[in-house]
Amino acid sequence: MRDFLRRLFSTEEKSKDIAKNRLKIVIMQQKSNISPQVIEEMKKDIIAVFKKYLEIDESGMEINVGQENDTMGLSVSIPVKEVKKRGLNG
Amino acid sequence: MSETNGKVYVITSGKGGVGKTTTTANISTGLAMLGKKVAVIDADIGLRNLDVIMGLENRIVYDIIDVVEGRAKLETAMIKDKHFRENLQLLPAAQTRDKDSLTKEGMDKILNDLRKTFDYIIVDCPAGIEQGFKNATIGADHVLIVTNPEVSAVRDADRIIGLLESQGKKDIKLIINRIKPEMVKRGDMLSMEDILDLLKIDLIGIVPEDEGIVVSANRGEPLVRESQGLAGQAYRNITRRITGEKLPLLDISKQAGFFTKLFKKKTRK
Repeated sequence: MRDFLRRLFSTEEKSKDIAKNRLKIVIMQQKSNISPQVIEEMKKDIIAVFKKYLEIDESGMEINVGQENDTMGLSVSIPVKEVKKRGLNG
Repeated sequence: MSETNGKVYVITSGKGGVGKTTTTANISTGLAMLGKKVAVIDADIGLRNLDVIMGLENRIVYDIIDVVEGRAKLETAMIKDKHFRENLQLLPAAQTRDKDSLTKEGMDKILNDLRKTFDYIIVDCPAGIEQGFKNATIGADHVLIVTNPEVSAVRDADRIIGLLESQGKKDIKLIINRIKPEMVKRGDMLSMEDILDLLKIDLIGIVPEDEGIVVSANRGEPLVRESQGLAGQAYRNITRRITGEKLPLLDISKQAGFFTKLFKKKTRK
């Protein structure tokens, strides 16, 4: 009942639209010309580069591979814990 | 350092599509709600799905096979849940490998490591009777079988129960999922009693059909967290039974339509 009322009066996005957006990303990843192995490898390399300079929270990372027309986009969100202390000359 | 010695529960079914992954997500989340520290493993290699049900699909970097084959540390591969963080962590399935990549030794090592820091380890296991199933179930202390009140699902559940018993599993309990009280009342659907009579194992819960399940999967938020609906209650009851509480079965016949409920309230005044 409470669920029903919440759904009735809420202005939040319809759950099927959330589902569709989520699936778009997941399916794009599955279908993209780049094989999933390559994407996985790429993710790991990206992490390795960031880890060299920053203390990052790997478990909080989000990586999306999307496609718009013929262009592929990669968005990465990485929570940074702290910047590693380095000497002046790196 | 004190070791927790967590309990390993495997969730499986004979037939696919009976709600195994939804059940795993809800039970794991339900246990985290009770303050338990929970690790949930997607052992359904090749068909990764638990991540989408839990809304964690964008956080996956490493998977269980990376851990088994030594490319990632277990702690790094575990994904912390959006709400419960350290207390609910997912080890995702590999999507690009075959089911045999998850070896018995690999699984044993992961389970033994997780037992040290988690209270419960919940394994979403492949359906069916392949090698993948055996490797995923072998280290479990407890097994939960999910079935629907349908002939094919019940028949396959029986096969899987036989197989698990021959593996020496002692604690096997049944979850009857997606039961429709009206159909049972009409005599058009196997009842809880019918199924228990056929399968001869203990029941840990019944979950009625609930549209909220679809909505919660759309959102990637297991419904056990906030739904007041019957399925949400059913899952909360199952998790409490897992922690050892004795609870009466949910009265699913109470599931009345919205208007009947309104009408009842009015007449009571």
